[in-house]
Amino acid sequence: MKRPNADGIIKKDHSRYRDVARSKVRKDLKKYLRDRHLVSRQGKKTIRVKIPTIDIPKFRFGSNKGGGKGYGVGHGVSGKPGDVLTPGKPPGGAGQGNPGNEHTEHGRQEFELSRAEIAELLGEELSLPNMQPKDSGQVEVIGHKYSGKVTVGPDALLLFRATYENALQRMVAEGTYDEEDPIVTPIEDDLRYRTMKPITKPLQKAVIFFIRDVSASMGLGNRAELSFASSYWLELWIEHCYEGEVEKVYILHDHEAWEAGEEEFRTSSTSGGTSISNALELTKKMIGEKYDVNRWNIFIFQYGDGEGWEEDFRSCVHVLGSLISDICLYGYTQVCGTRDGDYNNFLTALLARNAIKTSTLTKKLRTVTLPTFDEMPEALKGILG
Amino acid sequence: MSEIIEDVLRPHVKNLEKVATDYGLTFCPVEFILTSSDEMSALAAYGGFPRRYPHYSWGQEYEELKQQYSWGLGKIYEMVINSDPSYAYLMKCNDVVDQKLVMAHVYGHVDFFTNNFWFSKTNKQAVDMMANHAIRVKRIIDQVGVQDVEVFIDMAHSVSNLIDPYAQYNEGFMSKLTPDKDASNKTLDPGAVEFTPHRHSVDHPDMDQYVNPDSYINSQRSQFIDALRKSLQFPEDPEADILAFLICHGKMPSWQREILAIIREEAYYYAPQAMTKIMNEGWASYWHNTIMETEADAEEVIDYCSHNAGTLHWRKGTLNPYALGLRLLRYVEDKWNKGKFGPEWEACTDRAARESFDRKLNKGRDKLFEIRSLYNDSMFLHEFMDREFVANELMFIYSENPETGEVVLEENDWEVIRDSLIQSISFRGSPRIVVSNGNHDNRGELLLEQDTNANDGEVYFKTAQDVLSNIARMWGRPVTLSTPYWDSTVDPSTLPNAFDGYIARAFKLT
Repeated sequence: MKRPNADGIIKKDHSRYRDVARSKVRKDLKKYLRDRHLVSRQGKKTIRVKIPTIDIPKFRFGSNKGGGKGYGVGHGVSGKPGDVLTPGKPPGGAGQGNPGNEHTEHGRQEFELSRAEIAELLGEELSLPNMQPKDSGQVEVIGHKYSGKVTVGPDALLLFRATYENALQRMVAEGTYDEEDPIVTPIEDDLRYRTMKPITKPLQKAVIFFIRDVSASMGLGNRAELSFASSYWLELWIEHCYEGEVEKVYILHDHEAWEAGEEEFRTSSTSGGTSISNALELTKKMIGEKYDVNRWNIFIFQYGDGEGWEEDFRSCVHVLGSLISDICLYGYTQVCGTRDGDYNNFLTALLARNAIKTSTLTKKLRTVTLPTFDEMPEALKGILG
Repeated sequence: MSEIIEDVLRPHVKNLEKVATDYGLTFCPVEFILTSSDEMSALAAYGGFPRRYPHYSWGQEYEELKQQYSWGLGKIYEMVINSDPSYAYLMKCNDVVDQKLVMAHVYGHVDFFTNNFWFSKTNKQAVDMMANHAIRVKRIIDQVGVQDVEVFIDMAHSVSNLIDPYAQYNEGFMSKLTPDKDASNKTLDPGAVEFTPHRHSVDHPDMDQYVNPDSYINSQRSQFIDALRKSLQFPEDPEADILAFLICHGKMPSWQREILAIIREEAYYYAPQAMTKIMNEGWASYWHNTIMETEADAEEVIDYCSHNAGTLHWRKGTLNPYALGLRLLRYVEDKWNKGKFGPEWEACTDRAARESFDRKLNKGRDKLFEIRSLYNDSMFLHEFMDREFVANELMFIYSENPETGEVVLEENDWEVIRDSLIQSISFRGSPRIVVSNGNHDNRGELLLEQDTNANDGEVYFKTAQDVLSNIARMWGRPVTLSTPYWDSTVDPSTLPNAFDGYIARAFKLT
C-alpha cells in the first residue's frame, strides 16, 4: 500500500463541510452581529463563532421527561446506596444552564472563518453594495509573467512556434518554400523570444477615520463597547472591498480632539465636555496633511451620544460640507436613542431640508442610532447599505 | 514506511513480531505506516481508511480532531485496520519507545481480529471495499447531484445502526438482500374478500338460529379474520435487520437502495468491533504490557511506564472500558493460574482459604487464548465479572442529578452492576427495534416494535420521531413504532407527526 494521502482526499469532504457550516453561520449571522461578546474575543486574522453541531438522530434510550439522569458504572469507591459521592450545588445557582435555552439540547461546535469569508457573508446577508473605488490613476505591480514577445533574447527563452511561423510565412512569401521538401530554416529576423511583462492592478488605497466621543456621558451603559463592535464590522467590510489594504486612524475627543491607538479607542473614557466639530477639524487637517484625496478612498465613521449644542453642530456641518466631495462616506452612529436637539436629529433634519439640493450630500452622509446590540445589523446596513 | 524513521523502526518491527509470535500470537501480515498528525486526523475521520464515500460528515469529524490536536487535548496514539494484510498507522512525531508500545499493542489487536470468532465473517479486503464504495457513491453523485445524495446519506446514517449484528453468523445471511416480490405487495382490497361461514343444513328455516347460532358464525368470523391477517402480514418472524428490509421492500429509487446497501455493508463490517471493544482493547493492552516488560530498553522504562499509565489510567469514579478489559483479563488469568474454578473452588467457602487458594495449575494464559477466540464483550462480562471482581474493584452504579450536579451512589450489588454494564454495551447501548409488520392494518404501512427482551428501556421520543420520519421516506408509506414506554405526560397529539405526507408516530400497542 502506498502512503495513504488521506489528508489530501479529505480536503473535498472538509470543504463541503465548511460550506454546510458557513450556511449555518449565514443563517445566524444577525444573531452573531447582536452578540456583544463576539467581537471582544476575536483574533486579528480569523473569526470564531459557535455553530450548532449537525446531529444525526438515532433511536436511543432516554427519559422523555426531559434531561434524564446521568447514570453509569464507576469504580474505586466503597460505599452503600444513598451515599453522596459529589455534593451538588443548590439548584438554580450560578453557572447552571437555562433549561429553556434552545442550545442545551444540541451540542455547539467552534467554527473558524477568515475575515474575508465573514465579510462575504455580511455582504450577502445585509445585501451591501460594493464600494465604488476612486480611480487613483495609478497602478501597482503585483507580479511578472512571461507573456510578451521580443526579437532578442537568450536561447533558453526562444519561442519555437512563433519563430517557425515567422520563418514559414517569410519563405512562402519569398517563394523558397518547397512543399515536397518542407524544411523551414529561420533566419535572425524570424527569431522571437519570450519576455516578462508586469502584471498590474489599479492602486486602491483606503483609509478609515474612526472618531469617538469619550466625554463623561459616553461612559454610560455599554456605549464604548457598542462603538467598538460597530467599528469592527465596518472595518471588516471596507477591508473586504479594498482587498485588505486599509489604513485606520483613531480619533478621540471630548472638548478637544487627539489621535489615539486602537486599544484606547476601544476602552478609553474621560470626563469633560463635548465638541464634535474639533474632531472633524482634526480629521480634515490630517487628510490635508497625509492623504491625497485623489488617491485615497476616505471613510469617516463617527460615534457619539449626540450631546452637544447647536453652534457646534453648525460648525460640524460646515467642516463636513468642505470635506464631503473628497470622501467616500461619512457615517455617524449614535450609540443611544435620539432626543430632541441632538446631533443625529440635527443631521437628519439637515439632510431632509437639503435632500434635493445636494444629492451627493445625502448619498455620502448617513446617520443611524444604535442604542443596544440588538440594532447592530440595521445600524450597519444603515451606514453601508 | 518512509524516511529515516523507517530505518530506525525496522529492526524493532522485526524483533517485536518475533517476540509476539513466540508468545503464541498469530496474525496476518501487519504493515506499519508512518503518518503526520494531519494525515492521522484525516484517517481517523475516515474510520481508519484512506478512502471513504464522499460526505461532509467526515470533514466535520476531521475539523474536530484537528482542533482537539491543536489544543493538545486529543492525541491519537494508534489506529489499526481489520483487514488482511492489516494496516496500522504510527504517528511520525512519537518517540521510539512510544512506537514500540504501539506496535506491540497492534500485534495484540491483529491477533484478536485474526482469531476471534466474531470477526470470522468480516470482509478482510476492507480497504478495497471502502474504496469501491467511494467510487460507487461518486458515480451516483454524478448522476443525481451532490445535494440529494448528501441529504439521503444523512438519513441513512440515522438508521445505520438498525442491523442485526448476530445475524451475520447464521447460514443464508448473504441471500437476505434478494427482494421477495410477492411479499412487498400484500395489500388486499377489502372488497375482494368474502366471508362465507359454514352452516349446518337445516330442514326448516326456523331451526337455523338454533343449529347455526350467532356464536358459531362469530367464532368462524374471528378465525377467518385472524387467518387473513396472518396471510397479509410479512415478515413471518420479526426482522431485526431493518436496513435489509428497507432495501428489499422500501419504495425508493434504485440509487437510494444502492447507498443504503453500502451503508449496511459497512455497518456489518464495524459491528464486531463494537461487540468486542472491551475485550479487544484489554487483549491488546495485555500484550503490549507483557511484551514491553521484556522489550523496553533500560533507558526507555520510565517513559514507557508513564505513557502506559496514561492510556490505562482508571480514574476514580469513572469507567475506562479499556482498563476494565485488561483488569478482567488479568483477574481471569490469575484465577486459572491458581485453579480457582471447578467444584473444589465452589465448595471452598472459607474466606481465608479462598484467598490463599492455589492449585498451581498455571492455566491462566491458555484460558485467555480461549476467551479471545470465542467470546464477545457481553459473554465475557457475563461469565467472568463475578462478585469477587466487583468487590475488588469497588465498583458501583451512580446517578447524577442534572440540576444540582449531585452524584449519588445508587447500587453496589454485583449482579445489578454486571447486568447494567452488559445492557449498556449490548446492541451498542441502543434500544432494539424490529420490523413486526410490513403491511400494517392492510395499508402497506410499516409497523416497528421495540424488543424489550433484548435490551429494555425507554425510547427517547424526540430523536425517535426524526428517525421514524427518515424511515417513512425510505419506506414510502407511514411508519409506526410500537413501544411499551408511552410516557403519559406526553400528549401524542402534540408531537409532530406529519413529514411530507408521511406519518411517523409512536404509541403503546395494546
